[in-house]
Order: sequence, then C-alpha cells, then structure tokens
Amino acid sequence: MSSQPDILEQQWLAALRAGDESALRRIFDRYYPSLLSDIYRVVPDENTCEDLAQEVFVELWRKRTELDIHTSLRAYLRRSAVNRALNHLKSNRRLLFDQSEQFEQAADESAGDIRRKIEQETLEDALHAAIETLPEKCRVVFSLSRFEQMSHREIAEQLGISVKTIENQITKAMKILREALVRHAELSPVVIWALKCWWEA
Amino acid sequence: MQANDDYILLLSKQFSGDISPAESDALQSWLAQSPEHAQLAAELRQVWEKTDAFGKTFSPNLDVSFRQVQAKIKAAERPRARVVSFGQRWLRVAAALTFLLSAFWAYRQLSAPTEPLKIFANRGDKQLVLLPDGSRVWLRANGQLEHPVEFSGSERHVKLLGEAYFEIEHDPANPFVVDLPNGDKVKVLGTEFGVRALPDQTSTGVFVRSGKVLFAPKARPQGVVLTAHQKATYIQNAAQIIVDKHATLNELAWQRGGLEFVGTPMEKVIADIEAHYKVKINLRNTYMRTCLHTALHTTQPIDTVLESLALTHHFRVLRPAPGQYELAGGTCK
Repeated sequence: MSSQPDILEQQWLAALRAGDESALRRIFDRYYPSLLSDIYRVVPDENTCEDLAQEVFVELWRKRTELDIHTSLRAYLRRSAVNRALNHLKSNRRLLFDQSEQFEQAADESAGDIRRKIEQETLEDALHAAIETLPEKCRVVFSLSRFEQMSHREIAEQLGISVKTIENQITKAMKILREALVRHAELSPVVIWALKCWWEA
Repeated sequence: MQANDDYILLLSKQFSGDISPAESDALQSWLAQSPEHAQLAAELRQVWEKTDAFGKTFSPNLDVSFRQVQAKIKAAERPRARVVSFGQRWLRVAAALTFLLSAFWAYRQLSAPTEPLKIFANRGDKQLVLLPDGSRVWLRANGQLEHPVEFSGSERHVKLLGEAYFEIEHDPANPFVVDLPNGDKVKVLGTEFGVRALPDQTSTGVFVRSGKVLFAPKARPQGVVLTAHQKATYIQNAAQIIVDKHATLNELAWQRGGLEFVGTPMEKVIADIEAHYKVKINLRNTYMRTCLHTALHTTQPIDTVLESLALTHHFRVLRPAPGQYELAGGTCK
C-alpha cells in the first residue's frame, strides 16, 4: 500500500517530463493545499502564500525536463516552497536580517495580546497564538527548526546569519512560548498536576 | 532564568534530534541537579510537542488556482522582444518597409474569409488543441474538431465528431458552443467538461468536471443544466436525457490518465473499470456491492488495478477466460 503513491508519483513525473500538463494538474491537486500551509508558517499572509505556492508549480513545469528529484516529490516541493518564502522575506528587505531593537518592543506589546488570547482557549491554541505573535525573525527561525526539520547550521546558511544568532532566537522563542504555557497552566492547577505526573511517569 | 539559557537551547536541540553526545551528557547532569530543572524541561517538552499542529489549513479552489498557474506559465513562456541596434540608417528604412509590407499582407490575410481549421486526432491516444481564445481541447483518438481561425460573432462555435475534453476560458459575453453532427448542442460560459458523440450518432454523453453546462439535444432544445460532477447521456431513439447527479466522471479517465474513486460503491467501481478497460468483471460476493472504494489508479494495466483492489478489499482475482475476471471473497472495512 505504501509504495503505491510513489509509483503514482513516478508516473506523474514521467508524464510531466514528456510535457503532459495534466500531470502537473494532478501534482498540483495533491500538494497545493499543503504547500500553502508550509509557506504560511514562514509568511503568514494568505495572498502571498498563494502567489509563492503557485510559483513552485510554474518552476516545476519550467524545469520539467531537467528534474532530478532524490527525495520524495512532497519533500522536494516543500523545500522549494520554503526557499521561495525565505527569498520573499529577504527580497522584501524585511526586518528579518536587521538587528534592530524594534523586535524587543514588538514582543513586549504582544505579551498583552497573548495573555488575552490564552484565557479561553486550549493549550494548543494558546501556543499557536503565541507563535504567531513572536517577533518575525524569532518566528521564522523557530518554524524552520520545529517544522522544516532544518539543523541550526542549515538555517544559518539559508538566512545568511550566524549560528549563534539562530541559537539565540530559538532560545528566545522557547522562553516566550514557555511563558505562554505557564500562563495557560496557571488557569487550571489540574494541568500542572497532570504535567508533573506525565513527566515523572 | 538567564543562567538556564544554554540548557533551554540544549533541550530544543534534543527535541529536534540535533544534539551531540557531549551536549546530551551536559544536559543530563543539569537535569539531575534539581527538580526545578526537570520541571522546566517538562514544560519545554510540552511546548515543543503541543506546537506540532501549528499552521493553517487551506482549502483553496483548485480550478481557479490552477488557472492562475497556467496564466503564469503562459506569461513566462512568452518570448521577450529583442532589442537590436541597427547601426546604419538604411537598415532601419529597410526594416520599416518590411514592417509595412508585412502589415499589409497580414491585413489582407485577416480580412479575407478564412477556412475553419480541421484537426484529426491521429497521433497517440489524445491530442491537445489550442483554440484562438486560449481555451484548450484534448481530442481523443479518432476524434475530429473543427474551429475557426478567429472566433467572431457573439458565440464561440466549434464542431466535434467523436470525443473531447474541454477547458474553456471564461467569457460570459461570448458563450462557447460545441455543435455535434446529430444537431445536439453543448453550451457553456467557461468550465471543464467532456463530450462523447458516438460516430453512429445514437447517443451523446456530457461529463462536467467544473462550472455549468447547458446540454441541449436537438430533439430537446430546452436542454438540461449540468453542474460539477454530473453527467448526462442522451439516447437518440429513446429521446430521453438521463442525468447522473453524483457521477464518478471516469469517462474522462482517458484525458487525465487514470480512474479515480472517492467513496464510490463497489458496483459503480466495477462498472467503471469494465467500461474503461473493455472487460467483463463478475463480482461474486453480492454483499460487497455497496462497499465503498477510494483510490487513484493511474494508467496501469487492468491486472494491476484489480490486484490493488484485491489487496484493499481481500478479494481473490480469477480469470476464467481472456477479458473476463471474477472477484471472489472480499471483506468490507
């Protein structure tokens, strides 16, 4: 059963190389929605996500004759999408690569928002809200490590910043998210109790 | 808390599987130092694990989005105008003259009434035809399509003999009409659908993948309106339109290259496989008729398709004669 999708993809890719656009449509139907989610973690703007994800397929079509995919098609498209998202951040000269103080301020302002948000939601919701309110550099670095399974060195190379900076950002993200967790837990002592049991088990 | 920063980093390295043995040892001894450290570690582990589902789930309109991709591909493939510098003046004059002459020639060509283009699908199993308005037609083997060099008038008309799949550019001001040899008409504004007009003119089938289609057989000019995932068959001698409102659309498998089933009852699955591969299949276990099947079968040979069906539903495949199959046993999950 598990090998079937791979055979399917091999056939699609063969048809794609031969210039069959309906193969592109099939690949598109299968992966477009998940690529949108992948890109959204880096660039949380729906219109930009659509644009960037579509470009992945334009590129796939343009390069169809010289495609050389060693991983799964899903992994290939995902990496291509994330790279595009990162290039988008870079080319828009976003604050990502500045060391400016503005981040710290943004983080302080967002703390209030987080506090408001967590009060009625589940722990997952609270953490997701907290990720969204992380300063941009912090959020991007954390997302690449947490969701794209990239090593610190890889992230540093991709973003053109030092490993030390990456490590600082990840530490910072973990601390902010832990605060959100603790605040959420304070609301229900049962959670803390459960947490302890779970750790000691 | 500042003092713990190094260990917070080590913990996240541990969670992501990116930790060295030396770092791991350091982390272990830090954890053993105090219960607060263990508590902090437990909290951070929870942060890591509970963020797993972070993201937004999208359910875009795939037809619309794919059309945008096609437009981007088109834009990227359009050849760019080259900037050529003619050093000498007479060359420019010559170029201007050539331009005027060719413009005159083009004008003559365009204003003269032009013969419609006839396309026969005689290469391979299907042939892609690009229409002047940017619409695309896949003509199935042995099919014939006739279209004007440019569409004029308020409707875009093409003539079809045989079977074709249409992806029509949306243009509400100029409806698109497929004329069939028996006088049947299929009229649309912009959509994706297939038409099958049998050469003996006894029946016409229309299969709609998206959008809205008006199917008007000659004898029933008011017609029926079909929307996505519906199909209609018109049988000439019965003068009756049969509409299936939850069709599998595997009549279009030749264009996409494979059968598709999404929660389709086994009875329908078998019928589609029979029609697509032109074989007979006997489903022995009547209990299995209503069992639902979900799968994508690409352009595989019939044996592979039946094998994967058998694997999913625990059938045994028997071949009593060439072109005939029997599915025995089977359990429905």
